[in-house]
Amino acid sequence: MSTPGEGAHEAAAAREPTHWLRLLILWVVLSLAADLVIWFVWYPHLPPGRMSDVAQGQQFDMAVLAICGAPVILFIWIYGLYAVIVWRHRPGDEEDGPPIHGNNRVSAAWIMISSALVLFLFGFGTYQLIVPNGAGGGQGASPIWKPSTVDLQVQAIGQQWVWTYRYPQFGGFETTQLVLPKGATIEFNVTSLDVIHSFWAYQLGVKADANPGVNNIAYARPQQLGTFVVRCAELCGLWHGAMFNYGQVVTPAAFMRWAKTTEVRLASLTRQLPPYATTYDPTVIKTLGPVLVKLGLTGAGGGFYGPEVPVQP
Amino acid sequence: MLSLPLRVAALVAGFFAVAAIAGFVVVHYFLSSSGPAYEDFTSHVTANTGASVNVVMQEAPQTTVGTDPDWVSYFIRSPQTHQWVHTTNFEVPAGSRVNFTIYGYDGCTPLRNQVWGDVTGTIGNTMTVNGKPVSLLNSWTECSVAHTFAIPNLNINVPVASPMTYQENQNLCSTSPCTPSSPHTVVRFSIRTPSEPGIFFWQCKIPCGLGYLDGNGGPMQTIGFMTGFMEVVG
Repeated sequence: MSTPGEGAHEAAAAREPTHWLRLLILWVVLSLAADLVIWFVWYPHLPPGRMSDVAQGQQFDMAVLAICGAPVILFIWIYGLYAVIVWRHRPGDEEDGPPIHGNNRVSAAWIMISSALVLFLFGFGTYQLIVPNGAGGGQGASPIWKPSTVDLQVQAIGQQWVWTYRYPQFGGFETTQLVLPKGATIEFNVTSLDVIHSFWAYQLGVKADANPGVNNIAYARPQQLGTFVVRCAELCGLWHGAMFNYGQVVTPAAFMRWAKTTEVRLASLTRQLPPYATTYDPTVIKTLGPVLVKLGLTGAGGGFYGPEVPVQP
Repeated sequence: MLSLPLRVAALVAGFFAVAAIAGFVVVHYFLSSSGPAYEDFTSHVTANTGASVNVVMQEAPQTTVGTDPDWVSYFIRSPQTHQWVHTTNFEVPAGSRVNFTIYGYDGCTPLRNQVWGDVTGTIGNTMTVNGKPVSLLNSWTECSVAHTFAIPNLNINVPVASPMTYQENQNLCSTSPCTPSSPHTVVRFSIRTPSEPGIFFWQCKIPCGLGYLDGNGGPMQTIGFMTGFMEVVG
């Protein structure tokens, strides 16, 4: 038999609205609205755009992240605001709320939903790395994920403070221009001649470290005509901030015209370059002229100074 | 126990002392560090008229005029006094032709990337070395290049020729700025400046910072030695 006080408490509890249902409805409606806005309004404008397949993949990843993240953020805000508005302390109300410790259903739901979300993101992330062949990141000299065919190899060479590009399928000419054909699968071979740089073709979604003596391979397939920015993404000295240029995606026919014309125009320079290789060591040059040899030189400046010279950062 | 007026006076004095120190730091280390002077080649030329100015520079194997005598350096001849000035900053008019003369007093060294042996971005993509037209220098098979003058953002690259013989390279200028009695080459080329004002950095592409990691420290990283600014004035 209940006491008069307990009866009042039960009556008051019966008058209480179903808070969890209110919260659930609020959360579902607002999350759905936010996710629809993200998908249809924000997603097409998310960086880095859709200039290449890997860029589009990165944009999709960001959209998925935003769609997964928005409900979480909304839940925190809705729950917090609801608590402040509905459950705030009122004058005369000194009673504790009902205990929630030991609610096995809540605990089980929490663990299961969290586990499902983490496992989904693990699977999704792994899939997204494999499908676009490394997702635009450098995979070292032996990539794990490769496209079935490579249409064009381009070597990006970092040096303080400019990028140059070699095209081994066109005689190995080297130029400061980066021109790519639309629709072709590009294999970027990234290296450096001096310090550590990072080749970041922003709109293509390609970012690969350029380390001296190391070949770092990344893939991308440009799918839109236009201009993209290439930056160095590794602090590399005084003019690091100015180490950028612009690349172009052109039609396959325009690319072939450019490549063949440039190959011919730079033929005499190409003959002076070392044969195309994945890495270069300019500190050892085997073709040095007699005067240079007589002067005691063995390679190019930088990195060949002997132990008698104090090394300073 | 100090009296109240004395404590207030000490507090005020302390405040002004701290303010003075902060002011000194700001003025001395931030506002006064404007770097090497700019040589002005715009005073008698109107921008965007196609007029010409002549910029004369030299690269020297050392910098005996400063505190870093072991550092290689460029010098610019002042258009006003015709004296060599230890700076690498200069102003040129927009939309004009700039005729460069660079005296190469330093010895040869192979380029780290032979692609910089190619002359680009100059009028005709060419230069003259001791009066002979040249568009490409092979720094690996010949003793031919000492430094480069490059403005990457304008795609300008000029390999600055060096004295070519072994004897010349053994008897390089030892006091800077160098004088014509020392072995040297004379490199001439011209560029057209953009029609819009702007500031463009220029650099040497040979890591010539002897004694620094990979040769890329010291003069390579210090404005006033092997890098500087070309300011295009409208």
